[in-house]
Amino acid sequence: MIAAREAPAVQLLGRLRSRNERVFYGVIGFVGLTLAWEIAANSGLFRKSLLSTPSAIWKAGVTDIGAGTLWPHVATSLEEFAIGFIVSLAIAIPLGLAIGWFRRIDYLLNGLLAALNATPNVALIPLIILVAGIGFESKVIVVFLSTFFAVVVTTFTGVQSIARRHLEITRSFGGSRWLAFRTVALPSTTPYILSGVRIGAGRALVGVVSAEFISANQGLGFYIGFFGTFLDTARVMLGIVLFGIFGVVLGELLRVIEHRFDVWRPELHR
Amino acid sequence: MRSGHLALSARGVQMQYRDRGTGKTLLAIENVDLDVPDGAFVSLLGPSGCGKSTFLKIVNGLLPATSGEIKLHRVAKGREDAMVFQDAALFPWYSVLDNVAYGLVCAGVTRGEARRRAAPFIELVGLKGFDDKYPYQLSGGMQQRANLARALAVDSAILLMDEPFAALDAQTRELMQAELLRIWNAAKKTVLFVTHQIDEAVYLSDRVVVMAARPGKVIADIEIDLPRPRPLSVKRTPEFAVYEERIWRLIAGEYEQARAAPDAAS
Repeated sequence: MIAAREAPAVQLLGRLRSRNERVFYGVIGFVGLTLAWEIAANSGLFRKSLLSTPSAIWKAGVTDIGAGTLWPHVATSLEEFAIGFIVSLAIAIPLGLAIGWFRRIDYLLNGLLAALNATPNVALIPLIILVAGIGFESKVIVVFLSTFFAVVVTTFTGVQSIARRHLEITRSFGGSRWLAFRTVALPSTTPYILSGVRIGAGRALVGVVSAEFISANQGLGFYIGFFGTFLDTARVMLGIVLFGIFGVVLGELLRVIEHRFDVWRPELHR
Repeated sequence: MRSGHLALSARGVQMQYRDRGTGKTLLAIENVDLDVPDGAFVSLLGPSGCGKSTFLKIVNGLLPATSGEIKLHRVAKGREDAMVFQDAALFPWYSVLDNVAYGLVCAGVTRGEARRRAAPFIELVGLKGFDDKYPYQLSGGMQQRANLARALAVDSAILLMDEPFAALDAQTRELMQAELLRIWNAAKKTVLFVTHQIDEAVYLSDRVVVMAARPGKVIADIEIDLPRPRPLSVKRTPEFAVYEERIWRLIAGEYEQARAAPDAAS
């Protein structure tokens, strides 16, 4: 009887919470932090010019989107990311499969790739800019390389982790090695490839920002760096938030896809 | 079915391998002779390490024997032999139907045709209605049924079964044994069945071939003269107990000998 007298808004909150606790508390956390930030800045806990405030970031975003000065930077970064990422996957996945499947290709390239994978890709950026200039191409190359090694390494690791008994089935029934590749190696490696794609996407994002920081005339990383020199922290924060949103959305999307293939993981079928 | 043909004839099969740690050459199987007539159900029974699974893999072509000869009776179509694996070994990325069809796909049959030919075997092993399920949605017993259906579907002359019920709980195992006899009877297959369980071997088989370990060799070949069809209750008859007792003595005797002469065992 008491519950029935609660205000409709409270009832609604209760319903939302029971429907999806994860999302409910996630939103509360996000809103709470934003409010705390705003209040702390307005009560003089720190200088607004240093960390800006959520309302100032919002205002800057509305202004720049209205003036059409934000979108070109976002589009440039997205394009650099998309082209470099997709071209990288198109080469890295087949190469990783070949290394995993053919022993001699493995011997030939394994050490080299492991070393390059261990090198922080950011270290290569100055060299790439020297070779490819400060424009679009150098960023695409950075994204390409950042994705490439992560995906090659996880892919060939995946092929080499195939459950032996799965390969034995094909052999036992007289299937060819090519059939084993298509029907066993490919599906069994898929969860690994997807992990590689997710890791590669994260690295590629770091690559785009870093390369645009170091030298560029367009792009979201450039936008952040540019307004940083003018102490316009609202726009710096805006750039960071946009990168953050992109990173979270892409990461979650890839994680959902990856999760669907978890039961294919060979370590569950030894 | 007892046409007098031999589905399998093995002569002097020997298997050596080099131990990677010590570098010594070990004899896993010593001079095994075995005949399996068409339509018979023969079990290879022995403790772990007696080479019974290794022998099965040699017959299947998964392992090359060091010496000896394996002859499998050729049938007009299909493979000579098909393996039912110890752990069901189904592909998690395939539905039950595609898993059962896989042996045929390996034999070069197109996927559509393989599925069409696999369907009746799914029904035969009692998995009707589960065609579209995935292995992780099945119990251990049901996975073994699919494993069996995959081997049956290729229509081979002999079925090789490698301790297929070892991982199942005791009750499911008993049920699956009875089911296997029903399917064996319906499919008119020759079976070579590997197990370490005496009651399983006696219950299922026409003949139990007893092996001893280190090196693996055949120590007895016992005809099981119990009437068929055999309900599970046959396991509680005195005749059944006599067979169990006899085989148990053979295995225990080997064990005592091995313990008395530890050098010979290594």
